Amino acid sequence: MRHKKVLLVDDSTTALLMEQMILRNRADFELIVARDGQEAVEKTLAELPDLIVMDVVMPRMTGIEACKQIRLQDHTRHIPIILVTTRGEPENVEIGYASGCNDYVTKPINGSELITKIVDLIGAEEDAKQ
Amino acid sequence: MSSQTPETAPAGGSIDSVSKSIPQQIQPQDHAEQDGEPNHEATAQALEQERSALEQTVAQLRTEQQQFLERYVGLEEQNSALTTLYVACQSLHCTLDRAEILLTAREIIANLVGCEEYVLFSVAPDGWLIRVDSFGLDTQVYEKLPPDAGLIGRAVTTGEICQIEEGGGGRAADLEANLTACIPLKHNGVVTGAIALFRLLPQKFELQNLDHELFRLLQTHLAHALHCSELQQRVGAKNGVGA
Repeated sequence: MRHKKVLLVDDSTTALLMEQMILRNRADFELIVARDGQEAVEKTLAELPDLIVMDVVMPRMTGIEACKQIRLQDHTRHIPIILVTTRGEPENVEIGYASGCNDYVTKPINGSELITKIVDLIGAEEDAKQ
Repeated sequence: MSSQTPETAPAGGSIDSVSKSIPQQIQPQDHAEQDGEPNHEATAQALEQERSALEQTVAQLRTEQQQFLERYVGLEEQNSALTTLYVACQSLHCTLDRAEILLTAREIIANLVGCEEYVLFSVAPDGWLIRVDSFGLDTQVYEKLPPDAGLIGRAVTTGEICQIEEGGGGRAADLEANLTACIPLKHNGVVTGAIALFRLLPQKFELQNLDHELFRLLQTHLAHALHCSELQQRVGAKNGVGA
């Protein structure tokens, strides 16, 4: 079975390492990384990942803007996106959903929660394809 | 007549032992049938005993399942905690560049602890606390603090990590109004600085056990990392490189 390709996007080295450790430890994913929204959009077009985990506050292009850009492209609009938000207040979460994300997690990241959401979204995407 | 019908023959070691005892339980029925008088009462009693034994086995298996589940959850938590501590340690020691170490400390506080206001102080030779880095706070207010003042001063004096209880006393007026914890940084047993954590992120209601582990890690590892970066700077200056 093909490994699921997951794109991790964060400008923080620590957050990125944490996400990589969580996904490496618990599941069989192929991981690719990007350090800002602009790079995330470019890598999404080039790599067509199965899922994207993306921070919101980043230089050059925010996660919200990158999410909108990814949803505008025919090739990438279907890819599930989980936004990683620093603040979990409803207004911030609504902005995330309005940009087109499928789900969100808040910092500090809970590994089990992130894995569950990734598996749920990848599963739902597989069901939609069939 | 076999007592083990497909319905009453469960899989698994514990249930097998129950099943093996069933032929003896229904012996009265066999005798009765040989006499031409079926003993329905004995059969019902045997089946009732069988049901009771199976219920006990199921309850036992459920208990074991619950124990395994709790153990799994515990291991998952342990794994998650170790991952967090590994990431913090790895990030602090992967560079000798002071600016990168300070950025890493910020990231650990924001991303792994979940705090949105923080100040990192160094202890000056006269004992005053000098702000080295901060975020989310008015830098002017925390630029320089006197020794022994408030809970931050006490933590630096005693060298003990201080977690502030809600409504607890001893705070230095407005300066420590939202203080959550203070971590004195120690190098070779000497307090060289301190981290003051103020407001936590809105979704983080209180400090967890893992946060205390992170504080203990920061207490020594951040102090060592900063000390190593200073040595590196001195060596660089001596050799006429960087600094």
